[in-house]
Amino acid sequence: MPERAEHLDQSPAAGPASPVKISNRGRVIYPESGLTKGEHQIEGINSRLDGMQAAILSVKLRHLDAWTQARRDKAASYNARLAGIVGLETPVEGEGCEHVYHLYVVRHDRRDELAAHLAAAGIQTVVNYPVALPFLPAYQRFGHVPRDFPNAWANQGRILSLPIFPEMHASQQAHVAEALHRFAEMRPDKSNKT
Amino acid sequence: MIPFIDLKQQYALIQEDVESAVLKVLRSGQYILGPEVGELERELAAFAGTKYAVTCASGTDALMIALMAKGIGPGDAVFTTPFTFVATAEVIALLGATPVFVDIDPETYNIDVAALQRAIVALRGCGQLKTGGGTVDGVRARAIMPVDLFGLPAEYDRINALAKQYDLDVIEDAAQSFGGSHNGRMAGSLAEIGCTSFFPAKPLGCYGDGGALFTNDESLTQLFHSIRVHGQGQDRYENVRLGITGRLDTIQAAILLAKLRIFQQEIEARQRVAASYGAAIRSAGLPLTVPTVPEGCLSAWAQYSLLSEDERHRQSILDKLKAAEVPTAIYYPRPLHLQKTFANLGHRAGDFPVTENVAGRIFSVPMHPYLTDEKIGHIVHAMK
Repeated sequence: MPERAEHLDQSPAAGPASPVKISNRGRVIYPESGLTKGEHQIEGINSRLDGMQAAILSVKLRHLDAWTQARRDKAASYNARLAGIVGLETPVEGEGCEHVYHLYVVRHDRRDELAAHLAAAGIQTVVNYPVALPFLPAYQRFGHVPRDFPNAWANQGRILSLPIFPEMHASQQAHVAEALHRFAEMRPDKSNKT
Repeated sequence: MIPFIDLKQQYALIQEDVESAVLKVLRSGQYILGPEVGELERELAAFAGTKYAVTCASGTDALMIALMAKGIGPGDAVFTTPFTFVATAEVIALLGATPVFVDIDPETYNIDVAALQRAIVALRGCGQLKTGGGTVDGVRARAIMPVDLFGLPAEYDRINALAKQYDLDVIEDAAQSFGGSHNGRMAGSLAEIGCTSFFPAKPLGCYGDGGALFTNDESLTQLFHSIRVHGQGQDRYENVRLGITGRLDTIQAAILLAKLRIFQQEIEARQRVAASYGAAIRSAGLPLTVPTVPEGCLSAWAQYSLLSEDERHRQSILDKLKAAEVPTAIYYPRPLHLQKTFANLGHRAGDFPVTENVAGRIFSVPMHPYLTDEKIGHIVHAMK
């Protein structure tokens, strides 16, 4: 590996970091690190976007603003509908930030029970992501413990992504909200409920 | 103008099938690993005669996944040819391993097995790669990655025997040879792991990037599946090893299913085109060496490459073809050991004389299954 890094540093595109240098470098790396067919100055990857996918994205890009606004509207509607449910935390938007709500992630101490309750009501949810990266088997070799990342550790078991998409109907959101309210009203042990 | 590779004639043949298959995927909403992907994998395995096929995002990714599945990394030497597309050696270097180049056979342009044995013995003897202008220390022989250049399978009987003798893995770079065969076994199935590419210009091409891995080994197949999706474990967000985003699009899988239906007849058509070129070149008395196909081999004819007498002779023929509006290409003008990317290995001109000689003389003419004898006659006439 050090050999390769050293070699990269010797490439003509390397040098003091500046936007121009970086963009040249990008062109060198893409595709297959060849600027002229048949000549390869550095190693690259094979990572082109298909023409077909580009055509699909060109059409979709025209709708992106409207879709984003629709997602933000759905999120605002969830925030209003879910306000006041004890034990449920809704997403927070930071000062100066505009969330696009790719996911609408709520938090609850009894996350798995909540997910099961929603599933029984015909509502699909997902956990993005159940294990924070330092605690994945793939990174076990770094030997991380919960106190290294206390917030990530505390939240990985509490997060739940509710359905959200630009075309989501108000009645669908009402159904989700109703199920969440019902869950909050249930006793934690729910032994006399099922 | 004769196109170098005519994909439009083929498209006209399969247009209805392809368009309805693509529409079906678009309307299904199953864009990632939809049912077409599994269906294609079953059909590819049946075609190649392997137990398993795993599709992926490109031929380069197929090679990368194969090396990762074998745990190849820093300190490992992988023997390959310097006369190939850069991807072959690039993936070896990207993983921190060392590509050890071996010269080619002057007739088949594939790895020279006698030279391969010498290189293995030399490296094992000292744990060092010695090149014309340097040494790389601390490398151990781990794998052989032969390339089936231009569609012609390498000599796997001998290569697999060497691998067994020296306890090395063999990964077949069948990027260009899918559809070809060696002693009755299909390209892609000739080593423990076979890798192919579905780049549009390949014998079996999709309409973007795509690739596949082949093996008979179930545990390797599980590793391929895991590495293809970020090292996924038992469920989606359990990552047990490092992996890549290496999936094939469902849309591309649907396209390949439609193309696979006419693939066998296209491979046969390519044999006719190659034979027709050979006959026309011989009867024209041109001083060109036509491709050699050893006994027991079937080429997939990804390229039809001719050897001229020398660099000047090649240039004069390329000029004549250009004047006649016949497109040509040189695969490959600069051998990998002389590319700047691999400068750290310390190679010099003269390290691989056969490769360097061939690189200065070879050129490729249009090759696709729909090339008529009349057009072949026109191309050969233009070279006179």
